[in-house]
Amino acid sequence: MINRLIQIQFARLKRQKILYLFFVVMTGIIISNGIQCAGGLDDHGMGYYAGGKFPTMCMQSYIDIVGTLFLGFISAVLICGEKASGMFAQPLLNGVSKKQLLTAKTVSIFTVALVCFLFVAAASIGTGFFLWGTHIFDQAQDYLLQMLLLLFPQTTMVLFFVLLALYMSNISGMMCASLIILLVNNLFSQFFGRYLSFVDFMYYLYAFSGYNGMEVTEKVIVSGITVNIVTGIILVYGIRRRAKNMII
Amino acid sequence: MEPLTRLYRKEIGRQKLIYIFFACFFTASFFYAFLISTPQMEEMLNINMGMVGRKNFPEFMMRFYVGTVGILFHVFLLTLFICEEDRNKMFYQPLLHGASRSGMIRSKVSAAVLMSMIFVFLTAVINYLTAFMRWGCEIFEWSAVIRTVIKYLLSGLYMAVITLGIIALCIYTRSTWKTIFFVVVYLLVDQFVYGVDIAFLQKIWVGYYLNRWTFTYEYQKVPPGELLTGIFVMALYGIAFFWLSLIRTQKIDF
Repeated sequence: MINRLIQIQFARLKRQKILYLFFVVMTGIIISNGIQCAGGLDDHGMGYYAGGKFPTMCMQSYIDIVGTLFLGFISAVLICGEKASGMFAQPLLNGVSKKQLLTAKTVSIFTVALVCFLFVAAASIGTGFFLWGTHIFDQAQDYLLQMLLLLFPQTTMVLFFVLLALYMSNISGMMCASLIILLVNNLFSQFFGRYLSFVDFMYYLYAFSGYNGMEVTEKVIVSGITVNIVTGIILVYGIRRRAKNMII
Repeated sequence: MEPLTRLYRKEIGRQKLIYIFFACFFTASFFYAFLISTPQMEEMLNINMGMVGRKNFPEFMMRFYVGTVGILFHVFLLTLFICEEDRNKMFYQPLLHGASRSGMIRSKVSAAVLMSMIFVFLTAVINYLTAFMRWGCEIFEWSAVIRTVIKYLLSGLYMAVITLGIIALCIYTRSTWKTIFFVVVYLLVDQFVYGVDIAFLQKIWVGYYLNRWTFTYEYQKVPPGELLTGIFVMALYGIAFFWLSLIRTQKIDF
């Protein structure tokens, strides 16, 4: 049953034109970043990322606002949009449990997150290779580690968006709430990163991507993975509780 | 004031997200004012505090609202105000009570434009308040105050034009995601136009003037010639967006 549900979710996602448009927009951003980096070698801001650090820069611009809001949007479409149109309850009439339905939705959102992330990684390495040749692999060890680590906060982020979408009643409201949460988190990560690192999983979106020159040390890796696992468990509990009490 | 306009204003005012957003903005402004001047922050954020602090702080903080954040916030609110209403079949309700199509859209536009201007005003008040809390009367150097107030007024005009553009998009697309997508594309193109050196494109692009006023002439007076050209281009865009919204509303099939 769960496989069938996941297939239905994927079929719905495949029909979302915005998914394809997102790839076009991200390609545009990556190429534009590459051209600016290649042309701004004297400028410390952009020239710093030319060559081996280019994939790190692309990951940062993906995670900063575009990618995270996009994930929020996909969650909003699959959950809030369907709740508003009355389609959310349809599978439940055919004997599917709420738990199965939400698992299928979470898995499909997570798959979108993974595909988008891999796309950014591949497109940034490809563009970098075109612009700087094999120099793009000079710091491959660093950015591949960052990419691997970023999978943890990305997974937790998906769970967070699923929980948020279960509480919001429409797409616009969900997007507004996501924007506010992202901005507040960005602000607090800048000023209180040291304290936030103990409790806030979103802080590690910035920490693991080397935002503002943050270093990925062993301590950061261990605390980041721990915080994300603990938050993930709490979010799963929250989703189950909300699904149980939700009146559809 | 028409009852319909009053109704729409109340409808916008009931959005709790607006109050949450501005509470967050106040918090952000407060932390920037009080914590940014520490040496670690100056180094980490690559900011020269001698330049952005005191009298220049309200102008420095303006960029955090007028631009990506403010426009995204507007698009989410306006899609809630128009597209979601359209989807719930509430958009055409006033027509059943005798309101004309043009009267309805005029009321919506006036409520939304007023909202965008009040938001810019609120941003200015918050930034001056936090700056006053941090530096006291040092922020009131009259030439800087006049320059900053002019820039906030120009930002208010820009945000009003963008609001009209978003309303036109909402009415044409009648879809939340399409509107949000086009606005995100606009934001990306806006950055591109400001970054490249294509004079013709820059002259006719509505966002280019605000970027010039905010970044190129940061903490400086805007030359009057450029100011007038910018206002003229923005007014043209505003009229075009409003006119397009009116035309589309006349033809729309509810």
